[in-house]
This record gives sequence, C-alpha cells and structure tokens, in this order.
Amino acid sequence: MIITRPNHDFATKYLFRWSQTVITLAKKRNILVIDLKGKRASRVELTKSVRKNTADFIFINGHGNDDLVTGYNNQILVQFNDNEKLFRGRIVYARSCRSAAKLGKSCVKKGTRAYLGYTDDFIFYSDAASKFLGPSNLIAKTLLIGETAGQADQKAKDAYARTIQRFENSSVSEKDRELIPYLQWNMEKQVCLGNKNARLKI
Amino acid sequence: MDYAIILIMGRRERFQKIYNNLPLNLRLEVVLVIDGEPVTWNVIWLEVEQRTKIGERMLEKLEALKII
Amino acid sequence: MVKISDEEIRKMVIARLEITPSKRKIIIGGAGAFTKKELIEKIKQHDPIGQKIIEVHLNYLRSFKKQQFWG
Repeated sequence: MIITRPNHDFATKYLFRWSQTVITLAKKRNILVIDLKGKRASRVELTKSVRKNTADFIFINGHGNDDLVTGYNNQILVQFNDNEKLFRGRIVYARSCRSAAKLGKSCVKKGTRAYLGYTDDFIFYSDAASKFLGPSNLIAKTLLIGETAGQADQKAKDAYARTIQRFENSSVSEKDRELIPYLQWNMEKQVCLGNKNARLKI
Repeated sequence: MDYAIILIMGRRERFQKIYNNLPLNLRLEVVLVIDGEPVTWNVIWLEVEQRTKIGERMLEKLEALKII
Repeated sequence: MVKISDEEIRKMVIARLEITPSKRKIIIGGAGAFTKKELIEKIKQHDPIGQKIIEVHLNYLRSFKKQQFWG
C-alpha cells in the first residue's frame, strides 16, 4: 500500500490521524506500507514510490477537485490529462473532494483497475470525525482484508446508513441528529468506478 | 377546476405519504419558510389536515422545492 | 406553478442551522472549517460555501420523497 498523508492544515491533520488505523491494519496483515506523510506527500515522492514498487493499492488523502488530487501544501499529485497513467493497474482510494467526478473516470479509462472516491465535496464535523472518517476508513480496510472494490464501497455506505438510522430515532440528541444531512451527502457522493470485482493481490 | 382539485389532492397525498413515514424526531425540523416564518413538518401537517388556505400554499411551496 | 425565491431557500436553511449547537466546526473539503455563525454568514453573502450547505440540506429534504429510510 502506498499512502499519502499531508498534514498542512486543519482538515488534512484529521485525515493524517485517522489514516493511522488503516496503516496499522496493513502492517498487521504483513502488507508493505509506503507512508508518504507530511512533506513526503509530493508528486515526486508519489511517482518515485509507484514506479519502484508493485504496491497495488494507492490511498490518497488530501484535497482535490474534479480533475486533480493534491498532497502537502496542496501540491498537485495527479491531474486529468496529465499523469493518470501513474495509477495504471492499481486500485485507488482518493479521500479527496470531487476527484471521482472527472479524474477518477479518466484514470479508469487509462488503466486504473478501480477508483473509489467522491463526486463532490467531502464534509465532516471535527468533533464527530469518527462518524464520517470511520466509514471512510472502511473502504481501505475492506480492501486490505482481501475483499473487492465493490464490497469496500458497499461496506462504507452500509456503515453510513446504520449511523443515519440510529440518529433518526426519537431518543437521539440534537447534536447527533444534525449530522444526518452531511452523512447522507458523503454516502451519496461516494462512488466506485472501474472494476467492482477488483481486489488486492494479497 | 376539476384538474386543479386533482392536482391539490395529489400534493396532499404525497405530503401525507412522506409525513407518515418520517421519523418522529425529524418532524420537528424546519422544512419551509412561509410569509417570512420558518415552519416544521408538524406545522405543515396541522394546516394540511385542516385544509386551510395557508396549508395549500405550503404544499405548493414543498412541490416547488421538489420536497414532495 | 409557484416559484420559490432563492431568498426563501436561504432563510429556510438558515433557520435549520440556527437550532444547531453553536460551537461545532464543519470541515468542508479544502475550503476550511466553519462554525454555524460563519456558515450562516456565508449563506447570507451568497458565498459558494453557503451555496454548498444549501445544496446539502435540499438534497437531504428531497431524499424523503424516495422513502429512503435506513431501517
């Protein structure tokens, strides 16, 4: 697994911390982890790591747009019509806003086996990060235990759905109920492009 | 005139269907602003049940918002 | 067909936000972290972030029509 973990702002610091449990699981399963954290979440380092390693799972954390994903200090890592071939033959999970709208589709056309990501902004509450980043982590964790990209997508969505259901009942506080529209948003904007039956070669 | 009645009944039924299936907690949420005042699902239900003019206006607005 | 003004939609979403606990921060992608007060300001200013929050809430309210209850 190659993972990018910038930590240069409020949002990326959360993704940085929450990715740790995914790294722990990978190591537990004897999967080699190339952790491009902090300033190492750069285009040069990512390219070098992908070319030197046969890691078939790339986990991108950071900001993004319809046609790109970024690393440390919002440096562009991969961009539409530029270097999508970097992801050829791999399964990618981009925990970045919007990249599945355009970049993800192009990656799949150019040989990415499966691209999991979001077609719009990823939104979460800082004091309830577990409700959002927990299901999001499930995508990576499900892949790491050998299940398919489609199953990873579905497990994360099921986790969101269970939380939404729990928060809809009458005994729940206003504090929890207010999360529902954003949980639903992230769930609906999460997609699995490419081969849903793709799984890691572990 | 008959067509207008059918259209209005369609909105009532659509509203009722959604309202009946709405978890109790969610019925307390604001879903519309009418005459500058925010109103919840419960308030709309009261007006729609009583078939008031304002209830009809509320249904029209919910339809315009594509909520029903 | 009755028309809903953008102002009515903004007022509705602001009313929904106003009942939420005030000190919580919502992180919206790369745009940053915002409190309830800041989001309400952004909605009033017709800011893209405000527009995004309106979109999230309308999406949620429209989902009841699909009878998608996670039960």
